[in-house]
Amino acid sequence: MSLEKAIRLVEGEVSNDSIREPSPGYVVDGLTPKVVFYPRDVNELSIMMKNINKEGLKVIPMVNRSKLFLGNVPKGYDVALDLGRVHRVIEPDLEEMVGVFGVSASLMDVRRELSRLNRRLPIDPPLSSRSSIGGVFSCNLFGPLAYTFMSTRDITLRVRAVMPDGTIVRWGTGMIKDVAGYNIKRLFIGSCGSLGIIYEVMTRIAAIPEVISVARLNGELDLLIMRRLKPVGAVVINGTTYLRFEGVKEEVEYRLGKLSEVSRSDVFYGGEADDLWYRLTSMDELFDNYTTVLKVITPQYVLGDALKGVRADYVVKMPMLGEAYLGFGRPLNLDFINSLRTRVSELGGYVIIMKAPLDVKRNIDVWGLQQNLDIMAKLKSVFDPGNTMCYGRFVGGI
Amino acid sequence: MGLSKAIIEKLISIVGESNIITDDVELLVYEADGSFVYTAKPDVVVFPRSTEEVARVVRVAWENRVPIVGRGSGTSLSGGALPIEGGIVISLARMNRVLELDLENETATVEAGVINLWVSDALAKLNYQYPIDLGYYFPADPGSQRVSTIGGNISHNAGGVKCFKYGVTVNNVRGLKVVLPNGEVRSFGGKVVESPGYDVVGIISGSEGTMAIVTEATLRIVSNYESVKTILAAFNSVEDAGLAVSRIISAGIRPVALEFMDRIAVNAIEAGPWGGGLPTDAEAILLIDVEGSEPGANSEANRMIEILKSSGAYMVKLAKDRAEANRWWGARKQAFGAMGFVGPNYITGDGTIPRKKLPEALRRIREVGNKYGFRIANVFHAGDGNLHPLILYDERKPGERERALQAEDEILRMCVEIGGTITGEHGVGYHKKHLIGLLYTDYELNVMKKVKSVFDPLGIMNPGKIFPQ
Repeated sequence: MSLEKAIRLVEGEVSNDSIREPSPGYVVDGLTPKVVFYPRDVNELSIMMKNINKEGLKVIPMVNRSKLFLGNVPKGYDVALDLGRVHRVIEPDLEEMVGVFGVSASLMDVRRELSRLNRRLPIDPPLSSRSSIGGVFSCNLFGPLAYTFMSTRDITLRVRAVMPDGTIVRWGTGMIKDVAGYNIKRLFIGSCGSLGIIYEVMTRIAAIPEVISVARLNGELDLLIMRRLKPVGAVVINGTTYLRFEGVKEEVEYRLGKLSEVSRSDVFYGGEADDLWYRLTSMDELFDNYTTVLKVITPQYVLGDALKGVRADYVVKMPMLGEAYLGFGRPLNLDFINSLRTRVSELGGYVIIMKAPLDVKRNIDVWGLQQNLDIMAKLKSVFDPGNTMCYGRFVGGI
Repeated sequence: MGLSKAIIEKLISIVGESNIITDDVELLVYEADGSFVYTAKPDVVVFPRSTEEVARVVRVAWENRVPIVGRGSGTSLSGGALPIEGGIVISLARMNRVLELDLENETATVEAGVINLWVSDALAKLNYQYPIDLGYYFPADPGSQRVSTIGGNISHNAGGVKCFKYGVTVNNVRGLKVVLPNGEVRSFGGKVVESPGYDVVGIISGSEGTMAIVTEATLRIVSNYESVKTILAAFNSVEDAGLAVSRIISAGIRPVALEFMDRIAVNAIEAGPWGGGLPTDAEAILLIDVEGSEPGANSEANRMIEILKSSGAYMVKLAKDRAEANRWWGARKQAFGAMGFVGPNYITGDGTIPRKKLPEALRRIREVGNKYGFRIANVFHAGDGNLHPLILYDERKPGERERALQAEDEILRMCVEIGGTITGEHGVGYHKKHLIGLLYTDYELNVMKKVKSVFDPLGIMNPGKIFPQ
């Protein structure tokens, strides 16, 4: 394994500014890479990966670096692969209702561009205010709208990627219905960079509806009543409920009318409602201000049981999905996390440590997955037999 | 291939004498599936009644390197249920229990042999218990839903008319219990919307039984709306119908279902006992559902009607009640079967194309039909671009079956040429494996094979499918 050899091989084939010295922004869990590769395009990316892989180096890909805290402490980190200028593409097809988006396109830019064309990407993941397409799709992040529009993985129709050995591949054909071969794109989405580097996704997009409204309620609603109101998404932030209704005018009026029968609310409309929704679901305040963030995933009806007695400082719930993000300002000990994990597991769910201090992360697997780790490891080895990609960061330390 | 007496006796000891077929004549039933194009006889068919029995059967196969083919109702249209290399067909038909309906968590857990429609039927029966609820159903509704099994739907990632809004089968599966080729039982996912790790539920769905045998599934169920409006529109040209589809979707309306049929398909249906009063003089028809509150669905339906008329529809009807709507949909869902009224045999094509290429695709399909001398009816899931050209032929005439297959081949190549794929929902199976190279490079196909070998290192699980040898 030779970093110097890899750099020599790469620098002969890429532009002068594609290799950089690492700066503090590239530190991951206390580890500083030895070099930053900053490819100009997919071709340079492929060349870099070929040589990184050949020399047995360990790489972590990133774009906006807004989620570097997500994942186990790396077992190795030689190269930071900064994809910030690779394939910044935003290409909607208005008639087909699909869009092609490059890894370094920001979600905010995508939202803005599509909005001008009366279209949208129907996902509202956490940290959308500062995320790239690459970050969101590689980690399958999604928000409350997934209840109606399905998850980030579900709306993905095609993935173009660079494999760890540098080969450029395509998974999926871009058709909504396509069962030719295996659904490899579904493995890539949510793999958190552990199988290869996604450089482009093709996804479904949606039209912007005639009316968008967000109703704010003081307090929480019973889940069954909430569902019956048929919002397209629901989020509860520190006890305040926000329900999103959209569609033709008559539909929204009807739904808001039904809401008024069960609760008082303040209602926002149009762009103001949309902006409010994305601010809330971006959860910036949670991730900026709390040192530990846990994600609790359960069957919807037992989310309340899972959170009973848990004194979090900041709570974001997506009750119709059965998910909650909990922020803690105080240090958490492992006993607490393990005990919560046991309780949630008995309810059929998981607790993922999204963000935590290094002394916690060094002593626990952040993903909490106990079963089928052998299959996960074997799948990883198909794509990345040399453990080049995000070594040790994914489930079971793979 | 032939199985030894010892193996047969072992299988009998697992499933019981009344749950195994070894007789040559009885095995004939299992040498074909819904494709009716190829046949392949198994050595034995077993009917396990539990995951444990499936696991023990699979273990026997593993230890003796005997091929295994999982089978639901055998409605595969791509030869997916054919035991090309002989071996053991494991029929899940007797594992047909709905295990749990969990409305609180919006899931239904069923055995793999449950017929697709039974899930919604079971949910509909619950309505009286929850009068304030609108009730639930399972949204993945392929045309075969009255006969195909959940296991079969999962293995082929079946679609259906509602998939534009609700997705295909994989989007509606939360968890799976499977038997791996070595006989191990594993569970993936559950009632939660996501699990950490790789999406194994997603990779097994659509794998056409080549990785594992699905024995149980936890499905997403969705709530009904207060109102569903069904609209039927007739056009003098395919181009006008295609334009209408684009304009509907661009307008921000999210129809639940959006189906297209051409004149031949409509006339075939109306010629038989399942006719629903569809217009037989139309070059193309669209059948559309929208849902919502009563005022909301009304408004969407009215907007839809405006768009259809302004796109050239010469007739637009709103179903006056659910009975009329069900007649129309019932007719649509019998489209394939209705081909029997216009021709003795047919091949069901299954490609997906970009929606805007529909007029071009239909023109080229007509050209293929003319070239080979076949009538070809077309049914199109307009919302998602999935096209079913139904190639009518007569197998009694020497060479017609082979020419019909060539015609299908040409159509599928055309689908790829214009930006689509060779199969939208019926799978590659045995039938189309020679075409998969049009979509993926050797490198990509090798990766897929390696993924298969993670689950099936000995290659005994439904061999001879998907990948050319």
